[in-house]
Amino acid sequence: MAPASGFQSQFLNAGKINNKGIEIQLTGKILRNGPLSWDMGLNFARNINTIVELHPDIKIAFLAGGFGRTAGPVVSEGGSYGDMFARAWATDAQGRYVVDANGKPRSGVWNFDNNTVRDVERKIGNFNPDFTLAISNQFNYKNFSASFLFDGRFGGTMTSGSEANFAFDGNAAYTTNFRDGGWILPAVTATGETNTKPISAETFWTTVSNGRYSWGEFFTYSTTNVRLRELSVGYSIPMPANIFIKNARLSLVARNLFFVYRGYATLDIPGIERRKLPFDPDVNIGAGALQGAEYGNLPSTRTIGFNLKLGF
Amino acid sequence: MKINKNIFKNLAVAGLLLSTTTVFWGCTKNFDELNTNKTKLTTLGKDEFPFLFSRAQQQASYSGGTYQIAQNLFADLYAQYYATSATYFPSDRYTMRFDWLTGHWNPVYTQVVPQLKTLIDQTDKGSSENALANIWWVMTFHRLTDYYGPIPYFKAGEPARAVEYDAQDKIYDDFFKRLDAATKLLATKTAEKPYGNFDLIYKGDVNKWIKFANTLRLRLALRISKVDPARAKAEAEAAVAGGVMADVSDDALMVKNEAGNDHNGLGRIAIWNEFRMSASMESVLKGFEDPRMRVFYQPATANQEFNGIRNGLLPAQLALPLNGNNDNSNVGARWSVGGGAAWTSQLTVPQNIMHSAEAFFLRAEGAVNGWNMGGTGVMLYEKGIEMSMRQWGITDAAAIAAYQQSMKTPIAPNDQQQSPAMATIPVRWGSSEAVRREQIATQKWIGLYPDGIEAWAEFRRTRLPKLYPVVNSDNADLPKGSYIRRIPFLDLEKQTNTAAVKSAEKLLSGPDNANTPLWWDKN
Repeated sequence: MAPASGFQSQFLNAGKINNKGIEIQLTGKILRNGPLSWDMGLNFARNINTIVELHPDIKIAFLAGGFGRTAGPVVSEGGSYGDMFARAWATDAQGRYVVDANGKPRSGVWNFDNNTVRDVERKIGNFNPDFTLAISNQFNYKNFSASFLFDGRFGGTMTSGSEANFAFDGNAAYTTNFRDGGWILPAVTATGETNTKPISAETFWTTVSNGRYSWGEFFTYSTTNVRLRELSVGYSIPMPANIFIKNARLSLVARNLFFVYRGYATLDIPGIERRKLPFDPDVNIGAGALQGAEYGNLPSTRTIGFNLKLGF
Repeated sequence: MKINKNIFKNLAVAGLLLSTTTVFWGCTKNFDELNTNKTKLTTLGKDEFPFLFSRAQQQASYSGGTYQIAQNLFADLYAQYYATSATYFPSDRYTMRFDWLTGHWNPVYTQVVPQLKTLIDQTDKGSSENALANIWWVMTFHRLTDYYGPIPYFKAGEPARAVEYDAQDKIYDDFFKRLDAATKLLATKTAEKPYGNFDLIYKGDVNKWIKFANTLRLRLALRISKVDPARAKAEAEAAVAGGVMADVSDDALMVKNEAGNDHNGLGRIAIWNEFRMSASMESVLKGFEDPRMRVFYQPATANQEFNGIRNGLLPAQLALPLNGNNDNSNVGARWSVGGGAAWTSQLTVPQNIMHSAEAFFLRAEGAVNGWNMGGTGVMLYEKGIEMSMRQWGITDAAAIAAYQQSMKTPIAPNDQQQSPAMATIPVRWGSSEAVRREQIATQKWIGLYPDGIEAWAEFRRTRLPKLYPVVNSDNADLPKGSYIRRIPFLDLEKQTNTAAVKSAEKLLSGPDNANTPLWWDKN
């Protein structure tokens, strides 16, 4: 609401969101050969989410904090739940990056009415994946068993406030390029002239990280990743029939072992090698409105353990 | 089989109807009663009026942390009372942070306007309570409009999804009318105590409020002195004739409290090591050997000297020697006690609202303009200096007299940027009009401390004192060497009051950016 009315907010029962999804689960017995068996499972899930309508007077609404430091979730008619807005590198009518008179990137949105840049946030991603895919395998041979699970998440983005801080302080590896200057961004000024002004890495990264209030697009990564989610190897210890323990099983279980693939930063900065997703996007996947951004979150953990199961 | 099925179907329909009707009754029967909160106020009466006035006073002055995002990160920097020392704040380089600026906007419209509107609409039009509400309305809104120019004003506080903006000249016209009516009314009510102790400034002292309103009227008159000299003269002379603040006992200071986040804003935020004394203040106060320097600021932790930094430094520059927090002066012990990384906020120190020193400097400028201000320029100027000194506890008459006649001038602050002296004028009253105007403006700038909102407005009007340009501007609309002229319309307004903001652009004298002058800014 316009605060000038004396009111800042009003509770509304509004909004219509369409979810169309599909989930496929396949299980198969791949091999049965005497004591040896191999079972495989495959799970595929995809959900398409559309915000059909919000309210006659409200076509866009900001859901949670995160603005100014990373990115914030926004719902808008025709958009999708999970859309993230942040400050981004301005591009002109022809899609060329815009810099200021000193060769520094400018954030904002090109205003086609008068060919100026307006410094507002725009959509830079969506925190929901396009689809997820998981493959599980289970092997049994006599008393031995082994299983592993590959977990894949395809699509979706996440904006990292931690990376913005590393870039601001010059701690990130990619800030070593052009430390001594000479970095002429292939861009144009707001008046359309080709940029000729060299800047240094420090100028670039302090501009886009903007202290603790980063331009989110520069630190947004594709959260596409495939990992070995779980691996276990077990052995069922044969028990004599006459003791009180009926069965015993010892297994080694390891979770979150390694990534097979990680996505890259959504923005390819000219002159900088592609930046690989430097954190586990699982650190901030949940049910709340403020997903898709992290700021100094604790890293996820890899666990390895032994498991002894006794049945009486 | 077939019959049974139909019976069941009918029964089910009947049941559904029955339950629907029951729910319907349940929903409307005691609707109002059920939706009336029994533990909270739903209507306001006479008993609540004093509370409303307290709230309006407190919120319009930005208490606690709101002070930072409403005032300290913008106007206080633009007035160059302080410079940002934190590497992570960009506003000192003219980057607009519209999310912070909602701290300047929202309290006024949601915590002051509803309160004052209730008082103005529901108290007797001829009452002293009504007059005080109108005076505070003007006090609140001039600090708002002088950031942006056009703002929602005449329809502020009327429940609606969109509220239209008004032109600044129309708003100022209404200010003068309200103050004129309020002072005339109060002159007949001097024995009353409106709001009693709930008036956080004067405890309902009507005589003091008359002086406050006239001083405010004088302030606004000088503000329009370039755009409308005739009206300015008339309003200023009426204000002085009605009686403005003339002694430190008239000064407006607001009671502050530990409870309810009602803290002294400057005290609250001064412990965070995010800003330091500006090189501008250092140049002037050190050069003048001004005794107020050790009240406004305190010696730097590292060297026990008074040091300041330039406005608009880049993060990399802030990392250089001489620019660190410990190398430079925090605000005085009135607001923050300690050193290094350990500071303690002084939360209950009264907040400076408006002072007699300012009234004298306004009159001095009016006298230079040739207006009837009840004194000569030099007399009023020197009296203003005396009041400002006494306001801060400096009472040694010989020291004040020596300062008034001092020929000392601002010095080079010896900062990392190797800045020159900010100005060349001494304190002693000069002989040319230009020098006198600069002297009045410089002493008023010192005298207004720490009210950066008023000081920034007056700098924009007079371009005096001759503040340093910011070292770096990150705002493409403000090229190097220029000074910020206004705050553009807020993103919040563009999102929630879209059409009104769009039409308001036509009320500006240029594009909606930080380089477009306000109505009264003729520079």
